[in-house]
Amino acid sequence: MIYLQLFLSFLQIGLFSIGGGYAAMPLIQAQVVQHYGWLTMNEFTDLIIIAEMTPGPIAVNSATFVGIRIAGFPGALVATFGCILPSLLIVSLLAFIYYRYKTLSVLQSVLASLRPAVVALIASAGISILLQVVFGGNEMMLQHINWVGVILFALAFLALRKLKWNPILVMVLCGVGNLAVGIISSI
Amino acid sequence: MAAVILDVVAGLGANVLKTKSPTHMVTMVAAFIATFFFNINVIYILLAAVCVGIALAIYDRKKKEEKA
Repeated sequence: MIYLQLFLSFLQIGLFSIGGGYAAMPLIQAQVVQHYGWLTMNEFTDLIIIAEMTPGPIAVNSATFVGIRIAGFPGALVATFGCILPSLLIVSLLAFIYYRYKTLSVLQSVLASLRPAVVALIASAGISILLQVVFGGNEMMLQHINWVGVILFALAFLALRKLKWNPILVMVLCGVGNLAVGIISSI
Repeated sequence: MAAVILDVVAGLGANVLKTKSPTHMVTMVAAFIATFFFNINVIYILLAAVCVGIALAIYDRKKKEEKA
């Protein structure tokens, strides 16, 4: 039963994660955190960080991660297969259609309309993670604000947006920064 | 991590704004409100966006036919 649930859950993620790696995030969050409760929001945030720092697409890495966490190695295989199956079938079909009808205005229009929706979904997932960093799952009140997290976020955003630093370097530096603050405050 | 994601969003969002298409901008805002504030299933939002795309394609085709 759990294998079937994992397969169907990641089949949906694979089917609807249109628009690249980050587009899969809100779907994974909806399935894994909200619908099945397999991971907490904190574990989900860790999962995204691990999936981002390792080679390969976020959706596939997440499928393997969640599969192993829930049902061991067979779970990882089932979830990963569920995740890649829709794109395997759809891309094969689209390639066939594309070469037959190269100028598909409807397809172009659908893709152009999906783009803004996908941006909004990624923004929503990003803000959920930011709120988790800032308030740590507590009520949104001034006394719950994690100021170290806020400062690290602001510096990281600046480094990425203005200085165009490598995202992995920024994540590592944030980790080191947070660790350093933890060590200093414990002395 | 949030910074990495929101940096990507800023880049992609700027691309959508560059299209200067009011329909796409409204789609973006509506999709955000639907998912963030109303927790509407992501799949319905994507399907709605597909419908918007099909409607736009039909509208464009009719417009071209009228001009011709």
